Amino acid sequence: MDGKIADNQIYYFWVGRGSWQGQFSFHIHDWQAFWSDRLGLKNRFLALCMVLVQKIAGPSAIFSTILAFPAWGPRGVATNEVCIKKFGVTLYLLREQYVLNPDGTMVFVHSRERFGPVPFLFRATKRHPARIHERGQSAT
Amino acid sequence: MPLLGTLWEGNYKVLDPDHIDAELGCKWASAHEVISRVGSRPGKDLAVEETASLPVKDLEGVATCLRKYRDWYEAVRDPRAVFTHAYATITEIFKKEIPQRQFNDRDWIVSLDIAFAGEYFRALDAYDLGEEIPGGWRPVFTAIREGRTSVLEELILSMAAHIIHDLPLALREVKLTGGDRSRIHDFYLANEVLEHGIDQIQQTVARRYNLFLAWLDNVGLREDEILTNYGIRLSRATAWFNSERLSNPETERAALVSIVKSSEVVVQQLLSPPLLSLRIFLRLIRWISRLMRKWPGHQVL
Repeated sequence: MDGKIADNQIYYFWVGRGSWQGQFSFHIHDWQAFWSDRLGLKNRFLALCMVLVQKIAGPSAIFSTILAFPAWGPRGVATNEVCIKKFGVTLYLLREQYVLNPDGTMVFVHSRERFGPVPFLFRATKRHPARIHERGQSAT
Repeated sequence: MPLLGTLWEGNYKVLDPDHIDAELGCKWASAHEVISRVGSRPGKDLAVEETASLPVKDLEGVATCLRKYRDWYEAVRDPRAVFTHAYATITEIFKKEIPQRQFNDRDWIVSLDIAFAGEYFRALDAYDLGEEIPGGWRPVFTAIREGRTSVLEELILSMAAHIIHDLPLALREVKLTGGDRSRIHDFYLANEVLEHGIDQIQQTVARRYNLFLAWLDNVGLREDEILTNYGIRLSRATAWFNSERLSNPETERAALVSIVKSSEVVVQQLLSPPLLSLRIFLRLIRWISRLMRKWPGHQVL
């Protein structure tokens, strides 16, 4: 990868960097699968709350700020703070750190998330991989 | 990605430089977001080549790289910053002390330090990139990232894992003998540099992250220091022994298992000592330590 800009660097450092806002919608399309999935009481309650809020008040506003730190980690790091709000109330808050893999494609995501407006309730941390595709124009 | 207790798949498409469309789905739900850029588009002026450059070639390179990792961890409030800062400090001390001491082969001791630091960077990168973490580090990173530790524990646990797990591997890499001569004199001399540096490490860590650590050192009859000094000597001697075993094809496999197991046991004992009274005392220390923890610099996340 040396000497050229990798796909994951294009995606986070050039395309994604900055502030974003838009609309977020959420719906359950298979209720049978929802009730049979082993989600646990808390996750089921949170999913139902999200559906309820969207049914009553419509799609929510989503805000995101991506910062880029090319000097950190093995091949640079980006951070993202995502906030989903309705009528000014925070429904979901996600703080993510994307650690760019030197292979130029993969990214490892370290996240802390919070459901609902109360800071100390319904919090979780998670780690998962993501893949950036050619020329940083899409990700999965 | 895991969300709401199940696995989701996300597809993010850049429609144009100012619009992104994202579809997320799991077997029972879907979500959709369309976002637009707010404000002006940032330029392509980021120096993306300025990444922490590994492998390093000298002690200055090791210290620079450690400081870069420390700055990153501090900015995202990752407690691995504590040992990384201590490590940068001891590397600076070594850089200053090596020319002033009677090492038989200064290049060898520098090579050892570089190989030793390389093992630490490997462990950090493995954790950060979601790859398999070297066995000895797994329980340390898990405990530290779960927020179950005090600043003092973060320092001691990481130091223990680094010496027990990484040092034998680094010693094997740089070899225990040069020609017919054993390197044990130089290795032993490095213990003295470390011992003299312990005070400075504790002070700098206390000043930066938690003044309670300095207070503990004053009222604790310096027990932690005795433990650390003695512990360093003992664990470094064991590392030399394990490196001998690693270098022998007959014992290599058993030695690899042993260094992983040993660091797991030591970490477990440090985190959860067998005596109930000690466990209660540790909980109290952790609670006070958390209250008094401070972070230098600006938080970015």
